[in-house]
Amino acid sequence: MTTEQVAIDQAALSKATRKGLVGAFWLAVLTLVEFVIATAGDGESWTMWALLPFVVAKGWIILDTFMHIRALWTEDH
Amino acid sequence: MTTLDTAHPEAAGHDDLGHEEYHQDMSFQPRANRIGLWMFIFSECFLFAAFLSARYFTTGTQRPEDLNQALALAVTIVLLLSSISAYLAEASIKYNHRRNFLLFMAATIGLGLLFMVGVSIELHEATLHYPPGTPYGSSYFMLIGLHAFHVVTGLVALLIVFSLGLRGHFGSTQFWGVEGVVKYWHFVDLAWVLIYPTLYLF
Repeated sequence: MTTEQVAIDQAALSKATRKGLVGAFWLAVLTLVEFVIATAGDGESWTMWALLPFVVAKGWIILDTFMHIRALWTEDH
Repeated sequence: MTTLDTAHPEAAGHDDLGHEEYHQDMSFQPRANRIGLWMFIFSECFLFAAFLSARYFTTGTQRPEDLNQALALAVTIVLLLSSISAYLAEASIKYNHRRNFLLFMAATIGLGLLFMVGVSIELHEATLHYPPGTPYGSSYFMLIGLHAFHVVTGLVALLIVFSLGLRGHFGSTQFWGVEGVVKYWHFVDLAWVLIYPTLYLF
């Protein structure tokens, strides 16, 4: 493997790591906010509707950032 | 095993095909593998959806007072962390960082085991406060049991990939085994993202 290829790999790995950490940060924030809202709501029925966008957002982060779902309809994987 | 066999283990036993012909035949394979795995994941979604809807059908949005919210949040964070380390393991092998790949893989397995310890404690508490015979308890044990089964199978698959990695398998051009297992692990995480609020927050 050439030095140039190693540098390219290193840069790509750094980019992928950064992307993963950003996704992780948002997952952590959404999970904590979700918990706070649920605790404040204390089992009231409105909490379900309030928490739904958080569940959807977390699901999309996992599907897009970690599972690369968009690679199914694009060629760049 | 030759160097070629190590880099492309599936090539062993295909001596009747020429090297070029073999790779031409296999060129479509990663994409086909991915689509196959996504179809499997999609079918699993129906299974989880049925169990999730059963919870709302039997008990609406009511939940018992004795739920251990702190422990549930803790195991959720542990599983999310395992998903991140799995992602980093996949990225590492994709870009030829074998040492990081093995480290992150080991971390994922460790966090998965820690999640199972937390779930075991939850199940023990559940048998005391809302046993399987109660409406909420039946949904709880069904969902947690189904998910725990997926975690255990994911852990077995991660262990197999980890042991293969230790023996020099996988690399930047041959990492489908890692990608497939890691995707499955993310699906386990995704299922928990829906199960956690369904059982503990709503």
